[in-house]
Amino acid sequence: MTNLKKPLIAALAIALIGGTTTNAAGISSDSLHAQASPYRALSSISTFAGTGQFDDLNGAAATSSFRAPGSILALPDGTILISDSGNQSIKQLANGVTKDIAGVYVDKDRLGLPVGGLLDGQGDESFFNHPNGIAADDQGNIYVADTDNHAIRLIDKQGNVKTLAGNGVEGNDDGVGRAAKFHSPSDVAVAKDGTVYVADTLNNSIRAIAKDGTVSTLNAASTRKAKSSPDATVVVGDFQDGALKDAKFNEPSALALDSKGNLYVSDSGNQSIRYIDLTLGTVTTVAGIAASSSTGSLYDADPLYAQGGYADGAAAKAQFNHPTGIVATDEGGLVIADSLNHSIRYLYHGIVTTLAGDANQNSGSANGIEKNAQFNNPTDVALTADGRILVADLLNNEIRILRFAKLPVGLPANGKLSISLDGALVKVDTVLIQGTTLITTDNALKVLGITLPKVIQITKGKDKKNYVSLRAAAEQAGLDVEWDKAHNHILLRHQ
Amino acid sequence: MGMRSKIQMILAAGLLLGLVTSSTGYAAGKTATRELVITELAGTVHIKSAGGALLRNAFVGMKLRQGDSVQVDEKSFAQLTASDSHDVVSLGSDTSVVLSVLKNQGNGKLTKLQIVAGSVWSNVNKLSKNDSFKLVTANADLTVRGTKVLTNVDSETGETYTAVAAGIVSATPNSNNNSNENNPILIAPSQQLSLDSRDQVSDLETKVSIIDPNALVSGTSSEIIEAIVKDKASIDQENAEFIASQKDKIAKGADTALSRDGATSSLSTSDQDTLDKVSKNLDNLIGNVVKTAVDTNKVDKGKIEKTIEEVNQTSSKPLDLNKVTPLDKTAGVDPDLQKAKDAELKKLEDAKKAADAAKKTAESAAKQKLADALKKLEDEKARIAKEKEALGLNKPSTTTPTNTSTSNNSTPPAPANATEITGFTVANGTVVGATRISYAAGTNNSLRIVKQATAFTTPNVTFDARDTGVAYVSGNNIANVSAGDHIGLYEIVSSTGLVVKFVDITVSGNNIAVAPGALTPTTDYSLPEQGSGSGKAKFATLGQLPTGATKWQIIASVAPIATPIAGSSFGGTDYSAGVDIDMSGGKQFIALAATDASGNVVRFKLVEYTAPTETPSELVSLYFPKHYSGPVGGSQSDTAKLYVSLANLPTGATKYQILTSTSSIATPAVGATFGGTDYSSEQDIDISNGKQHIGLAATDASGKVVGFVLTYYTLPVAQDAFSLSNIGVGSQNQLTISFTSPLAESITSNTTLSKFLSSIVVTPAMGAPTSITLSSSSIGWDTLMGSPKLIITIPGTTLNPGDVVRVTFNSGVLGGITQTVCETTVGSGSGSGVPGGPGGSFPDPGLGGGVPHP
Repeated sequence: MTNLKKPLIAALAIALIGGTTTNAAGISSDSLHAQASPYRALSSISTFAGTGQFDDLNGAAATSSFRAPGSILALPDGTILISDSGNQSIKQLANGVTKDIAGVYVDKDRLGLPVGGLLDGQGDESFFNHPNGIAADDQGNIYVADTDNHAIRLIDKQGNVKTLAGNGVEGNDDGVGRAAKFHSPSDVAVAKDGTVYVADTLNNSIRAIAKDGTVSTLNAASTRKAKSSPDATVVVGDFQDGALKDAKFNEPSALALDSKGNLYVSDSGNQSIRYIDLTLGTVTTVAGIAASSSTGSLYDADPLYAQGGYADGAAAKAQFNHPTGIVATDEGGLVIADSLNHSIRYLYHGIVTTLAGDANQNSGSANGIEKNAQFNNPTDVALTADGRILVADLLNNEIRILRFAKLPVGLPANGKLSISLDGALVKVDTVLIQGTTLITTDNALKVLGITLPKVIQITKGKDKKNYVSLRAAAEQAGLDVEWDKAHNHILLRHQ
Repeated sequence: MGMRSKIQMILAAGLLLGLVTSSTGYAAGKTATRELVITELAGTVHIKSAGGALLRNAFVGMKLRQGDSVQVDEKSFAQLTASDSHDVVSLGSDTSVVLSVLKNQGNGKLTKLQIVAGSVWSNVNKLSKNDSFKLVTANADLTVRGTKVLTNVDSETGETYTAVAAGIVSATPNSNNNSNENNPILIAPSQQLSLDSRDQVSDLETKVSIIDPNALVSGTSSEIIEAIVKDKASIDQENAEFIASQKDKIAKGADTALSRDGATSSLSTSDQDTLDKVSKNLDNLIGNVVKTAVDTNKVDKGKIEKTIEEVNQTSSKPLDLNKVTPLDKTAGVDPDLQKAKDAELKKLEDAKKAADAAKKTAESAAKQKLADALKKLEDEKARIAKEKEALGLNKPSTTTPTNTSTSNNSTPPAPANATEITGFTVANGTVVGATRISYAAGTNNSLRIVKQATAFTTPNVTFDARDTGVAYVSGNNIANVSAGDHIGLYEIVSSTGLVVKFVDITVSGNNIAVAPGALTPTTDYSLPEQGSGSGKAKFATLGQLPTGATKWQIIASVAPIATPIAGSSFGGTDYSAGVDIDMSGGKQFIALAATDASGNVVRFKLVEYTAPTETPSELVSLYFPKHYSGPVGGSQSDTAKLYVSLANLPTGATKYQILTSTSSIATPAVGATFGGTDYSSEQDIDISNGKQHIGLAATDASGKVVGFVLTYYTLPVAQDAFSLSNIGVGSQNQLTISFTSPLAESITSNTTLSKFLSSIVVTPAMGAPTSITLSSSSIGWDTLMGSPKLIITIPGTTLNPGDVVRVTFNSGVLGGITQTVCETTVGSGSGSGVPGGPGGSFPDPGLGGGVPHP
């Protein structure tokens, strides 16, 4: 456990941006962890943009509103791009202000929802149809998986929207540009060499668009059939590791390139995270139920999808519930928006942990510390240059931010016990009795703002002051208490 | 929709699944997942399975789970029923919902529906304590407990509208302004809440008023209005209970204010006159809704009248549209509060008007500016649509039994129509609402049926009907049939599915099994209560037997018992009020029937019985600081006291009890009678004669143990005239007592140990105290430097961290000093209970002593 340190491989981060960003900070190596669960990094979650109202309003981040923002990307210059799916637009959030950069609508459907379309042109005269995953290359071009247009769109530096591949009609054809067909693509990632990888969700495949616009399919098409209703049989996704050309996926929903230029795939329908080694041409399952189930039994519960669940721990035994957006970190980890567990998960060194989310995986909108904060169908994550995590909180219609707890500056050099409240060092008188840290009632009230509960054990000190157990007082007053043994530091946090 | 014939078919209740009734009960297992089953469907409904991208066709019998989303298209309808709690949610046309939470958590069934757009009617049964049923819109969180509530979301304007027909809904604004004004309020029956946006008002109460039928009907689809009417009986019943309970409170002079978890309702029923007005509104609510719906052509008059007729058959309060009086907007409303609301509303309305106008201007300006782009967009749309149609790629739609006679079959010669089935008979079903058809199909042939509200067109002989409707066995029940329904009976060749014969049967009311009249709680029977022991229940009182009935009969069962047919043999056991009913083996339903002398049903009611909470099987360890703290000294000498938290009593416990003893008290078994005395916080406890072991138990009302902890009260040190110096860990043979002031020489010259010392006791952090043998010890005085010290030499004694060493003097042996006791905690660096400098143990801010983390 160290204080936030300088990025180790910041140089690499610049080469790979997009749904692809690797990032400066090491989440596991740089953050403070809960004593009770050594894998849980301490953090707090707040609303970064959006009022939560299901609407379309630009302006100051706090008063803007979105309709189901599905995807998010943090650019190296600090600009944030948001795929505001329900508003059929791509928004930019820079200097605390949101604005549309592409995609407009004029009509609403019978449910009152904006109607999309397929039209290239200047940003404010272009149309999308439920845009989703976003990526950017190092030339300043932005790529968008335009899901219901079954197309991959490109917003160039001048703000012109073009169609890179696909033509509005679903299908599964390789070819050049508009001749190629996709089926509900939901994410893109751009490699250093300009290749655009596509999570072609309902074709259950990973596609690649070469620089010259030629679309190819990297893996084998699924041939598995299942009944989607008593009267309809459809081809559904499947599972197969091994050679990439033979590999199978089930509704892959998101992509992320790591620092080696290889692809992580959020294989939602298989409730797993897959890894494509593009050099070796192989696919492995790095986390989730598919890593430890026999292929035959994956679809026992539901013919369409593997069974979702929730379990932290060894990656092969870890469980997800429709993992979606992902982003790789510098330290070789992967942040995962675990949509239906309403949680943000982290895969690092073969261990899956929960960074934030409701203790019972219930949906909600509460802000607060990592174990109390709630999300409602978080579908994407992005990393800012300074190591914070942005979350596209789809059904809360908000962008949330997760800030990792840090040790305060100015810890006593001699290793003496120190205490901080919400990150700021506080000066209180403490004594230690039988392994219990006590503080004076006066300090509790005046420094920590704790109103003592009626029922609490008070101990008279030698100095004639009244002392109470710090943990008992703080917890009864609703504060979270964590102890960082390495620095002999007690963190008190408002929940 | 292309070539597919688009017949708007209403697949009424229970078509496909459930059409052929079997006696399957509701054996809901206790797993984490729960499900809502699609029990009715009409038009086009799509499902996206949790997290999946694939759009699936909905079908009756489809099981929906947490995370699934449901989209109901234009002129469509879906009814979802929870398979465990039997809560029913009806979704109207143009509705989109997400089943956010649908699971068991702890002992509770949790339901949370996020309404994105459209119209949702929820009929929620009374929930048990740990259950929760929530409806969430972008503007508000609505928490429902045993309630019939309508919620409409207009996603274009962002408005959330909710109207409560029965029960109480708690509403919390869904706002990020984490101000303390986001307090929940209660919406009472006959009230509505209409909220334009989440931050529109700081106090939701401003937007609460008596239901305006026009506002209700305008955002509600005809199918939902129909569903509301169908639930009239359960609405009436819940309201009758509400009115009766309020009436009772008025009569007793009790507080009539409606409140729940700190939230209150503005609906006042403080006196009988006001309550009568509210009651009248409740009686007229559905009538007003239907009338408005008919007047505004929202619903088909003939159709709704038919539904009303059916509902009236079993209703104790039949609905007569000619006798509806308008709702009284002042019933239960505080006029001052209303005045303030009206002023606030006027302001809001003006602001909204201005905002709407600005929005409209911006929209039309955008359209103007985008004129060229929009034209190109239309061309693109046309191209995509054409390409899709050529490829046969259209949205999947709900399969409706294909009718072959479409307009484009004129070119090829039309195949012959199937011949008409004759010689069939139609009779009453054996379950309520069911009918039966008897007809023998030819060899190698089989039967299929489809039920719909409108007439069929005869299929032709080339039609493969294997996917049409459901298979039917002659004489089986066809459930949920209404008079006037059409049943298409297909005789098909089993191997090819081709239709051989067909008939369109219009079901008459005479051929549908009817339910007996319902028994009414309080009038006909008192709610079941516990009988003479656990596993036994009883109806304490039963009312007058209805006309035609001569006795009562009951059947107790684990699963709900279906309503029998009026006049059918009930098959229960005879019953009279007050007699025990065996509810063992998890039985929780009692079917009560008033029958004639031969046991045939005259009137009926299925009553649910919830047994009183059983004591938990595992002993709860009470712990500081959740359940108690202390003990500390009491108000008198020889007393101590505990602080106990009633709020944190473990589940199943209703009070605390204590026992004191001079020695350790054994941990009692859960459910055992504790035999202590009832204890309330800070009461003095007699600890005289060394009764310092205090056992604290949380018990149920009859004193049976639920939780327990053993505490020990250490006698306080009266004053610091002397103190025992720090003692280290390990083997020790010397104790030093320092006095704060000089002592008379007559004292310090005496080294007779037995004169001074009464006892030396070591109390370990865990375990029973031990005494150090005084006869093997000796004392000496050190008066060389300042105040005197008493040096006690003891036999080698091993001391552990946390041990408390206490030295007690005989009284009156130290001159004027009344203090007789001093003590120190080993290893803490503290003496006489006073904390000292940093000790040896690690500084976890924990509570120490193995107290579990809350």
